Amino acid sequence: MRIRVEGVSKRFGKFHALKNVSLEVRDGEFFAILGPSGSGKTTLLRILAGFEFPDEGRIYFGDEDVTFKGPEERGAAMVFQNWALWPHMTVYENIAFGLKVRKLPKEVVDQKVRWALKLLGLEGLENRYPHQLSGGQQQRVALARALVVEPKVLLLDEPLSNLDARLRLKLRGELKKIQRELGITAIYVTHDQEEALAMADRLALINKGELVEVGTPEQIYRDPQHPFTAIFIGKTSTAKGRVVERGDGLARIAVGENIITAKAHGLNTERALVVFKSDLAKARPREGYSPLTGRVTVSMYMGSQVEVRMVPKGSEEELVFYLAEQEPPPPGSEVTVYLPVEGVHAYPL
Amino acid sequence: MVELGRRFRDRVALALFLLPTVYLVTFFVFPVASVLLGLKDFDWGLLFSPFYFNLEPVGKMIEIRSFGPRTFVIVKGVDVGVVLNSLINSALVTLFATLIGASVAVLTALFDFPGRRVFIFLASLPLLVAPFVNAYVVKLLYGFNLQGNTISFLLKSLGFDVVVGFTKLAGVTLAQTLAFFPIVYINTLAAIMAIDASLIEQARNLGARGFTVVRKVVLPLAMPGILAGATLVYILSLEDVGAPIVFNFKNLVSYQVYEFFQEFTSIGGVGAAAALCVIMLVASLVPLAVVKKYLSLRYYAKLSRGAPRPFERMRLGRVGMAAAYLLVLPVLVAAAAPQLGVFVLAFSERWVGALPQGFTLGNFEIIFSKPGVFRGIVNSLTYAAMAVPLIAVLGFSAAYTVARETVRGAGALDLLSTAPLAVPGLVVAFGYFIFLHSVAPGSPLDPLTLPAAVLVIAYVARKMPFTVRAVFTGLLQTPKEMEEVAESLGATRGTVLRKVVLPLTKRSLLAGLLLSSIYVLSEVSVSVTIGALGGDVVDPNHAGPITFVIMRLIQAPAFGGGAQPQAVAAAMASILMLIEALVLFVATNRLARRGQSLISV
Repeated sequence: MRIRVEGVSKRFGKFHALKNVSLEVRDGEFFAILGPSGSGKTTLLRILAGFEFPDEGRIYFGDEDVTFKGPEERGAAMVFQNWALWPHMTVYENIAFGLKVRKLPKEVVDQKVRWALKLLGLEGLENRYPHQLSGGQQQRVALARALVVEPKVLLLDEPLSNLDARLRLKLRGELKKIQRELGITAIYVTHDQEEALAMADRLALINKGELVEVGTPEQIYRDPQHPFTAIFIGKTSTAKGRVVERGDGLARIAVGENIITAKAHGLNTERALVVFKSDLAKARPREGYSPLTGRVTVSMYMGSQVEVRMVPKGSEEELVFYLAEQEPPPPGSEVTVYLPVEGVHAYPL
Repeated sequence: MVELGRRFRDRVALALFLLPTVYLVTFFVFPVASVLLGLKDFDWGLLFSPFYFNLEPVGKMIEIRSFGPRTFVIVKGVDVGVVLNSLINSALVTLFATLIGASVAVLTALFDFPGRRVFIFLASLPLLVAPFVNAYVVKLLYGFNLQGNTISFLLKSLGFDVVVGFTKLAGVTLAQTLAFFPIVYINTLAAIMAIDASLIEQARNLGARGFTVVRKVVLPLAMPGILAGATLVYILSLEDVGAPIVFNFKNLVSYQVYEFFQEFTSIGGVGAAAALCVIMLVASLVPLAVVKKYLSLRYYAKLSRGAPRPFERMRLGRVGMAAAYLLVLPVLVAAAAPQLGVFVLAFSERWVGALPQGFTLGNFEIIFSKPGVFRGIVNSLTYAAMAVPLIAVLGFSAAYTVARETVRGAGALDLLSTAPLAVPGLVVAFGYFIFLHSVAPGSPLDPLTLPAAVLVIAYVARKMPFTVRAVFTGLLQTPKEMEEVAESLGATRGTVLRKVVLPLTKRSLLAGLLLSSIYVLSEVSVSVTIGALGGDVVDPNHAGPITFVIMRLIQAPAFGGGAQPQAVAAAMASILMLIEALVLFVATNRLARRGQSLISV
């Protein structure tokens, strides 16, 4: 099912939760909505689910305008962050709920519940109550309950955030696999960029109620068109710079006394906001990398990496880099890091 | 467009909003507002006569007299006119009750010491309400009596021939303080129990100990509970007629309004009664408005984010032990004694002087053998049976609407459904009388025609808040997502309510209904005013409920049968208290969840 959001705005009192958001989710796509907390991503999901109605704008499921349809009329099944399993119902009853509401014959309900139990590896647990399940099992029941009604779209609101890190990784893979097998359109809200990058076919970035950028994970990571995206995705550090030279999508930028090569994004000003992808920096020179020299303020050993905080020569802004295969340099010493072009992004300031 | 779509979708939500709103506006807001109708042609100048406001106090606070070897210390209080008496008395009762209640709560919740459970038991005992009889026993124990009261008997056996007795306004203040302080206790306790252990542990970790923890951390955090309890005590004291009737002190606002219903004439007629109701209303609402920011029902929202981690109690030091046993314990014993005394009186042949005389079961027999007395029980049970289903439907609807904010105006319903707790029952009773008697004279809704109908209507309005609050708390502890996920799976709001909300909140609903029903059974203000309009207790077909019968027995009408009428009242009150104890136990121990205090405001 293709989903279209057209010019949606939503206010809560004086708070502008969403400002003129438009986007399109393709049929069968795993679409992630990524943003910091309070950015409006959950509001957008709730509007898609029909729990909130937009003040302006339209929502289309396929060609059907569902803007003001109630949640029960949309066929958009939701999986909540806390899973919202009904404690007074067994696993079976939880999963069968949506089918019984649709007044399907008993045999059909049973058949479909069995299918969902099998799909999610929940066989044998059907008579348990939610409190008798582990976190991972509860999560699976919530997913089974949503999938069993064969929804037009599956809406997921940070469904993995209540799980421990190991289980989260495991279920991340399972969820993606099931979505692909069933070919169902899924919209996944998260503030975890790694999760979004790993799972999504495409993702949207939202900040302060505004849609910032939409793209594939690779586009978003490698070629962020908007400084917010550049800063939000990955480990980053920013500085102000002066444009020395411009041309062909690249620019030479002075950061203090250092001159480095950066990807230029609509750079038409003298001054630039420079975003460094901190973990792309190297400790040794490489072909095409720009050197950046500065004085170390703090350095920390972090296992596979070393975190180095430094102030570039002739600058006052502290930058952070993560370097592999390196001893922590002592504070006060001079250090040079080497930056690839895709590790430095310049935006007009 | 938005509104149209939403309105259509939320027909059920709209119904849930309208049911309690229409009821409360019709049977609470209108009646209370129509008190103002009674003010027509009233000359406010009358209120400034010495009878109402008297800046030259009459009488002596304490009188000491000697007759031979015997010394009489009579604590009377002074009379400064009806209105000032009421305001001063309620302020004093609130002050004393808050001091005692909050101290006991801090002591028992925060500290461990030998005998702690006894303290808790004693402090909880007066929560069992024995209308009128409690005040009567207070009078027997501590009241002024030429033959000596129980206290003076104890003093005499210790060798002091002195009679210390409370009478008049001082007696009212004493009886109300002893009866009401547990309300502050229980509210403070609930607030303290809601404090997460980490907050107290952090204070101790930083070096604070004992009293500093109490002063700097516990009391500020428990302040909403303390203020809620104090405000409730203030209102209860203002509207109480039990103690004034027993101590025969008529110069109080509550007594004057009560008396209006006896003859439909008070000293100043309808106008004066209406004016006194307005004063009582304003006097209740002003303190409420002052502490309002602490008193929101939203207070419970804090508790809903998972129950707080319980904290370890601290060891009580030597000074603390001394204070607990020498200061707090005597007060608790003094306050629990009347409650126990009610049971003693219930089994006594006679108790008018210092000590009860004779043991009998006769008082209980009379309850069942005297038709007029038994009628009260039948009436009460009938009224409760009619009121409870209504409270269930309306209370659940209101709680759901408020908790889920399903419609605009949910906030107003929040206020509306809590308001009956803050409006003195006598004002409600007087309002019903004026409103229904003028809107529907001669119809079944006219209290003079069918007081029973009006009683049921009034009980529903006045005691619904307990159910609303219980369900509201239950709903806050039930994530909204449980409903939303059902909707997203295709369930309509009706189905969601039936299959998800009701099963998840039925325990809270049941707990609320149990509380509402015991408060219906022990309701006084409306019962003894409107309830008196259907004939006196000697009439076997009167319309009065249990509390009305108890009051008439305390007032000792010519009744025959040989038994002391107050002892029969005590027998009835004992049964009432046992039911209350049972219900409170079931509601709080079996039905409520942790961190939820059902009897607090």
